[in-house]
Amino acid sequence: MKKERLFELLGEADEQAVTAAMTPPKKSGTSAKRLAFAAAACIVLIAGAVFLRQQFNGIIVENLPAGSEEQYSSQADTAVAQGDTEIYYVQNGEIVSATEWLSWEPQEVFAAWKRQNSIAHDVRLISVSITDNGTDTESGGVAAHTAGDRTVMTVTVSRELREYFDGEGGDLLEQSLQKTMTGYGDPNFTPDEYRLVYDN
Amino acid sequence: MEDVKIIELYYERDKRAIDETAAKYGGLCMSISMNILGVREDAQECVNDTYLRTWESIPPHRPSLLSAFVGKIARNLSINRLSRNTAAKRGGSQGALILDELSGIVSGSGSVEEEAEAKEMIRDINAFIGTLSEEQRYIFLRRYWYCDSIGDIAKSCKKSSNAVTVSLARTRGKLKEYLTERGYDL
Repeated sequence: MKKERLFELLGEADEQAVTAAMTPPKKSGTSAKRLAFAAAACIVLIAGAVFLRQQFNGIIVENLPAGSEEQYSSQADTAVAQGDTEIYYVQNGEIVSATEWLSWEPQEVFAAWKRQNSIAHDVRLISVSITDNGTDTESGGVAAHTAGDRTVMTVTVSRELREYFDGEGGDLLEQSLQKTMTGYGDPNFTPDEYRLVYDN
Repeated sequence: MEDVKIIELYYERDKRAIDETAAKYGGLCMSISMNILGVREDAQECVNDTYLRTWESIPPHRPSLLSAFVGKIARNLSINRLSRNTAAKRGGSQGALILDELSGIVSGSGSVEEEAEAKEMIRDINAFIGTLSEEQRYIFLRRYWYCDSIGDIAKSCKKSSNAVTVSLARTRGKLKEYLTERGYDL
């Protein structure tokens, strides 16, 4: 038998099973495991400074003014928070959501959004950055940072995604990405502005 | 639009059926086709052909699950194209990698060309899939039906790529044993 023929025959798998495989099986994780996650999350929360960085895990945080150089790239040295995460997707011409237990890491959240919306694997998330309009000052050799009051989230994706967004129903798909990327993590944080950028 | 209504449009020979199918399942078809071929232009052509083939197939067919129906058409068209496209085979698309994996199950010499025998084998493959755990079944179908990459499957079920690779290898071994026991000339 040829491998191509077997590949074809596997395509005749039961349609119910195939449809069921559109969503991953529910984790049958023990409650002890969940408790361990919760405990770890609490520890992270208590460590205030760490908490702040962990909210932006994998995200570059920077100030809007060009003169402000402060950046936090926080993926390497902080624990990754996890939790129920709303992943928005388009179904029957409307945006709906599914809850998944995920690490609050942009690549993981984006991968879940891609999966829920059947986006091909060549579409990539390049970066997510959050900027604010805070200012840095220096007086008498002492540097000070004044937090801004306006935040902008910029999501940069590979240009292949544009084809999806330009197609029929693309507006809803784009909105589902925005809702997903701006909605996870700290419930008290929502950027004031959202920008989508295509990588060249 | 609900699947039932889309299928009614096909039965009424209303061209909006294709638009609705594209809006609802275009992403799914594109994903499967891209996974298999790894070349966007080829995948887009297969997806367009999928709409045409669906138009020709409904009626007489009345699929109960439109997603699986159009997904299967996209998959078959993409596999046919892959077998003609040696560049894609060499290019390391998921389709080419999957064929390599499946070559461990079959010898490449026997044949299951007769329709009756193929149908029997499909029944046995489905019975085999029914014996798998929910997670094994998910991993197996994501790899060999949806043609997802190992990395994507690992992310979706929160396992390491190595764990997914091991699961697939074990399931392929079991499938080979299952079919051999039932007398298939693999």
